[in-house]
Amino acid sequence: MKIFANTRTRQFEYELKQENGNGFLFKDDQPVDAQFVALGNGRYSLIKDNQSYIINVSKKDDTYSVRVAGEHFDVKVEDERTRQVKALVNAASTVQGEKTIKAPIPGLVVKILAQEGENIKAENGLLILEAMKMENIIKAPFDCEVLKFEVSEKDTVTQNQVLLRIKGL
Amino acid sequence: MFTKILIANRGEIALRIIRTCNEMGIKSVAVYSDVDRKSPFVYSAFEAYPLGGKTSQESYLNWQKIIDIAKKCGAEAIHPGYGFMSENADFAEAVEKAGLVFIGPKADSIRIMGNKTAARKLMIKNNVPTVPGTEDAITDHAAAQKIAREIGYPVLVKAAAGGGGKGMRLVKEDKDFVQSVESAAREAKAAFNDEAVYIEKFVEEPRHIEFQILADAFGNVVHLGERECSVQRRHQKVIEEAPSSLLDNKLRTRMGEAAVNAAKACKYQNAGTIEFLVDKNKNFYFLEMNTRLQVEHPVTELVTGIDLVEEQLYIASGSALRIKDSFNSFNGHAFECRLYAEDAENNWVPSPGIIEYLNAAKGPGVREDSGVTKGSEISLYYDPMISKLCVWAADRHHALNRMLRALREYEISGIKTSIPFLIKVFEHKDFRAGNFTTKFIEEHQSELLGEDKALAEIASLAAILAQIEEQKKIKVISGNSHNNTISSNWKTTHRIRQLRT
Repeated sequence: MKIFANTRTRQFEYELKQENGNGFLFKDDQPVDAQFVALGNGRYSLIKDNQSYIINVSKKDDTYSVRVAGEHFDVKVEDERTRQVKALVNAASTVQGEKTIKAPIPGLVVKILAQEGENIKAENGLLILEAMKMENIIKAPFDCEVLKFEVSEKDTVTQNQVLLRIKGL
Repeated sequence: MFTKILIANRGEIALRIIRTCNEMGIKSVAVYSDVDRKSPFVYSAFEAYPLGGKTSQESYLNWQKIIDIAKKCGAEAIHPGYGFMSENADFAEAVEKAGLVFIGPKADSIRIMGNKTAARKLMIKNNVPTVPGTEDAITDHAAAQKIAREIGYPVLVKAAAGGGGKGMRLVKEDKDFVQSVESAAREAKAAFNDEAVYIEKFVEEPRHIEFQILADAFGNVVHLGERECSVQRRHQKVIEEAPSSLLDNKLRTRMGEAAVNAAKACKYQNAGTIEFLVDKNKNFYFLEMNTRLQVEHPVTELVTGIDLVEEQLYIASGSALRIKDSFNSFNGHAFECRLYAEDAENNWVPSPGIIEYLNAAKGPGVREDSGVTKGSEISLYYDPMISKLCVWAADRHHALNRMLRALREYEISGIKTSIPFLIKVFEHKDFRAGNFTTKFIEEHQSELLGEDKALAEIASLAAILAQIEEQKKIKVISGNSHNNTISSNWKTTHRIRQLRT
């Protein structure tokens, strides 16, 4: 089975072969020489080709946050099958005309600037999101009608959380 | 000396002050917001009182409540740390009125140095160099040109009513002056209906260099040398070092004298910092005074051996300066990195969350002033700085390598930090050579971001192995687990790069 690991800018492809409950990883048809030993608390000692690394892993949703040698990577791991299923789901879910505005950063909703049902011109403010002392105005991407706010003032939101739904005019 | 003091701050600086109190046998009192109940500074203090609330407004800026707590618990003085109320003259005054000591300067000094125009005038009067320019706006172009010639080119022509770069011109030579000033005036007239302009010297290749001073109530002032803080992003300091790679003893002496004069001019007491800009010809200009303990004070402590908080407490309790002479030479070299909870690779977005694992850098020459621990939640309510990682070594070259080692060693998970970005700065040849200005990050942005390919591959493999382990269905057997063959060349090369000195 093929396994894909994607960082922000790169993709690495491995092949996992199984035999009697044992797995063997291959990359470019070569067996991967890697010992991966858990040390607890999401820490691992990885010895690959006799090179030793200390690695910290934490998982959020479907993303692995991996720290190695001071560098930090968000890695998404997918096998062939999940990749195909995802592609089908994505193709079916796009609704015409409606758009959700998501939080570009985690933050606090300080003020809502528009009302449901109101028409807002492009580049005008929809709401103000504050994070760590900085205020960010979330603006209308195009002329639109505000359908529904999914958050209220003083709410805390995570990155990519849906803030409101709009419809293009 | 005081027997008990209250610390009107949070995070790493509150803990920093508590530590000195403990060393001096002074009882420390912490005050905290609801969000900070589990923070190290709260459980490390001798006493702790809740302020309630989450936002700064509800908690650390609620100064009436803080003064009430101080009086009730029997504290004799309040240390404001940095930020929050540290440069609030009204607060300093209210503390004194309540019969307590404000550990910092007098309200009048805070007030005058907090006013840009007043501070500039005071500096000019006391022979502290400021960026040369016109005091008042002018409309007479011939008079303006005369001033520009006196100041020396390049100069900036700025619309008096200006803002956002409108009505601003950089003039490099005298022959371009008339044309530039006329077009700036036209633009200013159109944008603000006011054609008056200021003329100001343009500081070329500016570096941010500041002097630490100590002053007592008896008029004694010394300086403890400089810190260089040129590596900044959006006017936020990122890396600081002492001493500066730019200064020689002659310039240090002149700048140090100016810093002492600046402090004397505003009748300063306690620890303070005079910030200067230094241009490519080593002219220096007063920028502003920070009337408090600075975030980056540890680098000065590392190269002078002085505990600045201890000196602050002695001065505030009425002692004369214990340090009699200014510092013109230092022991070794120190760097500080501010570790921010932010993701540089994702447009610097804040990265709040719970610290799932933390194993800070240790070993020779490493000092960390941290406000967090494993399990701490980084909230959105306060500043994103979670820790200050400092190193000391015998010289700048060794200190650079030591910081790289410490940054790579620092294990933290659950949130993202500025560590990967900092590593790239410490690897950058211009930074290593001491060849940089306040524009360093802006100019080298693209070289300071991006994934390292070899490490991305290691991280990807680790993620796959972690997922397989998590599913617990199969056990991955290493391809050559009993093979002791020598690694291939590229891996060795990478490894050397990683450990590069």
